[in-house]
Amino acid sequence: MNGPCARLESFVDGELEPVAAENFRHHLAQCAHCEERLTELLAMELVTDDAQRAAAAPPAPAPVRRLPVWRRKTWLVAVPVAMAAGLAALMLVSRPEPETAALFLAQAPTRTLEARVTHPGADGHRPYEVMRSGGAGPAPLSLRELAQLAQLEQQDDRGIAMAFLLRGDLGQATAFLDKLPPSADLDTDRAVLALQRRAPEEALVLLERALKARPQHPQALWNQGLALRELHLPLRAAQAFEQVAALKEPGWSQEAAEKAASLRAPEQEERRGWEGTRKDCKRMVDGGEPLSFQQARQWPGMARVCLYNAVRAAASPERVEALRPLAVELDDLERGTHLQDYLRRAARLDFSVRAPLARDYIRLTRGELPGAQLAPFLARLRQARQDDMLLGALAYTDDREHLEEYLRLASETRDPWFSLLAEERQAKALALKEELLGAQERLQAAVRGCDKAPPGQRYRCLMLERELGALSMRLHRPLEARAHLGLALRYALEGREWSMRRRLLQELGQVARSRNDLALARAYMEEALLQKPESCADSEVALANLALAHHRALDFEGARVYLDRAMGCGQQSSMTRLALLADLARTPHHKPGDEAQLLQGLDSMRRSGKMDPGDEVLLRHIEGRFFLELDRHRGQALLRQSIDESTKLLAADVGARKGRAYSYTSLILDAARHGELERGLALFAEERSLPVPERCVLGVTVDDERTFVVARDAQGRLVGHYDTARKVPLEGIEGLVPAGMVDALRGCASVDVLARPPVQGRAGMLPADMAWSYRVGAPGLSQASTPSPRRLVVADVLAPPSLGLPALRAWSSTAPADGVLTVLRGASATPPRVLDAMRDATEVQVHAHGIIDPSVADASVLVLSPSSDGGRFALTAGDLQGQRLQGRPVVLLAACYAAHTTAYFHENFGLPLAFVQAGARAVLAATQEIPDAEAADFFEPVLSRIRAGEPAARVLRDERQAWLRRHDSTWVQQVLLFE
Amino acid sequence: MDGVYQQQFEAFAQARRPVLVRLARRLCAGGGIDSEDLVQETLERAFRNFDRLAGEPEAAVSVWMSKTLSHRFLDHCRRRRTEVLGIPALRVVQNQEVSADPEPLERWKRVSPEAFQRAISRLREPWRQVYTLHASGLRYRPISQQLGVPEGTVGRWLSEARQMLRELLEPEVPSAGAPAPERGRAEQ
Repeated sequence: MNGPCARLESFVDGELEPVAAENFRHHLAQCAHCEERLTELLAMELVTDDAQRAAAAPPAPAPVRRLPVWRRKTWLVAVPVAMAAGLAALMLVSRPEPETAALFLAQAPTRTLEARVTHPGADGHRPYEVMRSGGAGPAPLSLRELAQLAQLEQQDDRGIAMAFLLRGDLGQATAFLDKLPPSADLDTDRAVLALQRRAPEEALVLLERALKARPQHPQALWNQGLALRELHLPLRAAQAFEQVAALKEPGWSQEAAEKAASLRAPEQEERRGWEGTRKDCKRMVDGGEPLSFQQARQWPGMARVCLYNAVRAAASPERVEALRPLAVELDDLERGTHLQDYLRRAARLDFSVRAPLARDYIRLTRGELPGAQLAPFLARLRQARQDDMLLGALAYTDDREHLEEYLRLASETRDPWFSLLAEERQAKALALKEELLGAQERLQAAVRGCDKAPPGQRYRCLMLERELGALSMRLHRPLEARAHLGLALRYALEGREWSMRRRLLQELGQVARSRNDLALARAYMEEALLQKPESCADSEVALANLALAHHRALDFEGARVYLDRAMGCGQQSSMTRLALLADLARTPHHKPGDEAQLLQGLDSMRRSGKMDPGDEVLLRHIEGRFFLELDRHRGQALLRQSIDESTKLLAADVGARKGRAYSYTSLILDAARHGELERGLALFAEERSLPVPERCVLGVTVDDERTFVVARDAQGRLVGHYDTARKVPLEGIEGLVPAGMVDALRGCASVDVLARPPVQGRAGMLPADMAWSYRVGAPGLSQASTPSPRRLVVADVLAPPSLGLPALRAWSSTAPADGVLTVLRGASATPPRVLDAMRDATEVQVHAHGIIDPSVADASVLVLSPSSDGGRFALTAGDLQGQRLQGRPVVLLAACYAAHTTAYFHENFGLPLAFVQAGARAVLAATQEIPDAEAADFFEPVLSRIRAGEPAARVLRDERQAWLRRHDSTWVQQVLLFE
Repeated sequence: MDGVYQQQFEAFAQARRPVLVRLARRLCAGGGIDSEDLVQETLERAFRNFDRLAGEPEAAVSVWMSKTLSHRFLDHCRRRRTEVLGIPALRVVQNQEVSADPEPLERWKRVSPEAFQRAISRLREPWRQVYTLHASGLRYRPISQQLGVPEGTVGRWLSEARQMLRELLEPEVPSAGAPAPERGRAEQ
């Protein structure tokens, strides 16, 4: 059993790291084999439990009937009232004030909960005692305590929640917290529950909210420290505890100070140790004292890198010999002899040839060899046959160059270190050539042995995982990126790679940002900043990213704070910073100096010589977006200019496509803000090169906090809606079109929807009982005569395994095998054959996955079976460009878009548009998998009525409605129409 | 609700809740799924089916509970996957298909607590000790400390112990720990 399935037992035993466990849950959600084994393993655990209970002495009847613990939360809140009140009556509790100290375990000399709760009765300071595993936890509530709870129940739900929480009954505690109104205290207590469940990320989000409401909230700050510590962010955690210490609460203040100190000290030690060893390492390469054995054991990765370089730089066999003890020590760590073997070979070489080359090699490692001298140096090494030095020197060249030579030299060493390096270099070369999936496949294969790799090799594994993380981000797979970078961080912690850890924190912060997880993004990036606080220049990227994270979360105030800090670092301006200045221009957080900053930044970027034409379009857009708020006419003119400049670049240039889409967004929303509905609608049409529809059309666009919806009803009357009220990033599109506007469109036979990214291609834009379709472009070529029917079905595609796509069901035809039907399935369903068969078809059905692959110009692609020549499996929108679909087919894309499409603000659903432009009559796209048994029943009448010339939107509406009346299944609501 | 019925169910739930909580916590840790919810949902379903379950042998009830727990958990996973990835719920339709082949589970129903205990006692060392410690609720780390072996070894022994138990309990239980026959491309 290979792959993720092999980790099932560790998962069920709760032994996977949090990131690996999360990844595994995603795997489980789509693996039929694991599902079956999971159930069997759970059955085994339960049967084991049965056996254990049977073996134990028959349990004595419980002396006290406890709260019925099995009940649902909603019942939980009701049951204790009756139960405990009844018990209270039995006990005849007559004290006027309940004795709460015992309820909150406040009389014990130590506390068992490290976190702090907000209830004053439960938040007295006592030293924390770590619970030993298997040790007795707090006793369950006694009868007397239950009775006291009943008294509390009328006025103190928080108190009851705390009593349960302190006894580890998280379910009951949650049920009582659910009764409380929102507050900073409630968020803080909920965060304690999250911490107890080992969900520090969730706790962090709750605590951020609590601290935003009350920045000095002592319990929130304390718990934030704990959550950050759990996430391996010690310096941020120390900061939080120091804030608590400053509040001077008896007991807590001192414990907080101790916690902060115990978090900071090892971090300072780590940094000092790493920096010192790095210095010693450079000295060793220059011919100085070898690293100590202790350094070798503590930094095995760095030590190994330095030893290779020191041998290459050695000027005599004696020097090589002097390095031997270090080699032996490092070999012992790996239980191998590769380094000693290398030293033995090196010591036998001719040092009269080698010594002068070694001097230049040292210059190369110090960055003192001018770029122009690198190629001649390589040539000298080749001529002198100093393969080890050549291998080392090639690392300083572009990964795409000298690849064959590098691989040969690496393989000749027979050293696993260089095998991994060779894999890394090949993958990087592929990634640089935009072959991202190929690169990913290679790296995934390379890291397979990493969990068993010895400490030194872990350094290489760290690099491979980091590369995988970067690739996953480029492939817009943030979850995978988080898993890879999380593993890389673990290796970096184990290998004490302090500097790499800092970089990984920044990268994890960017991943969190891309998932709109602001609290986590900030935690990672702030930690990275604290790791090296003196270096503002190093922090600029992190700060600008934080500003962007706040902006994405529609927290413009926070964005401003971080943007100012980033600009304060004095580094050269970046596209991110300029775009933020432009976005803040329309908010109260615009500042008078921004104009000068923006103009200066634009100027320096344009003069840098590093901008490609697409970047220039984006810079023009940013300029226009900014000035639109200061000088409307100037802004409009600049935005127009950016659209004009984009026109000639569009097809292949992502920057130009973004610039054009964003410029239309700015112009449309500018029209909306000034109440110019007609102009706004015209811009929607202009962007698609469509004539402005005179009736029955709906335009929808959203951008950050802004929404604009405009429509013409059946009589051609204009109605519109504009607001700037969005407080959190858009999630669903439900309710985006106001009810009044939906009603205005009800008189239409069907509605053309001109929706723009990121809302285009979402199901449910208009109600299911209305006939509507997404209008994606101008009609293609017209066809005078009706072609004879030819149907094409593409199914049972063999997607490349490396894509990790869930399996689709096998396609079974109910149609008669007449001469009209062509089926391309399995290995035959390759892009060239599918394209070829499409040309004359009058109907095309594709049952395959669609993914977003940014390495191809037109983001969305259909995944087909790899062709035998070169393994091409992607059918892109670009492939359809220039095609003439003679049969004007109706196309059914039963493809699942397994990608985070919401991450795209500029990109259309490329495939439907491309099909329409190539001549398709209509494209039906299912965003959910279609059940075989029902597919034919639904689509046959739809397709045949459209073939017969009925308007597609109305056919789809009618059949959808009829279906919903007759069937339970609602998947038909997820079928979209593009025309 | 009949009081006796409720009391019986209370006893049933009291007895099984600890192991359900332990399993649910392990399945849910850090994954944004509430383990308490999972246990409550499982027990609630048991409550609804209690009249039927009450007459079944203990092992059959456990198998039923394991199926319910597993299905509820996977439902949460799928829902969460859809939320996190922003992808359509791809497997909604397939779910109906994947729970096929209940055979290995059906046969677990025939294992009495006594037979299971006998099987555990027939395990050789260190497998018996590892399995017993695991069954008492200990995690890999404390077991590894107790036995003086790495945690990875504990995991391997435990996995081997499970496989041995399946074999010892033949013919009652088929060897379900072995990879199942190829099921389409589900694992790609």
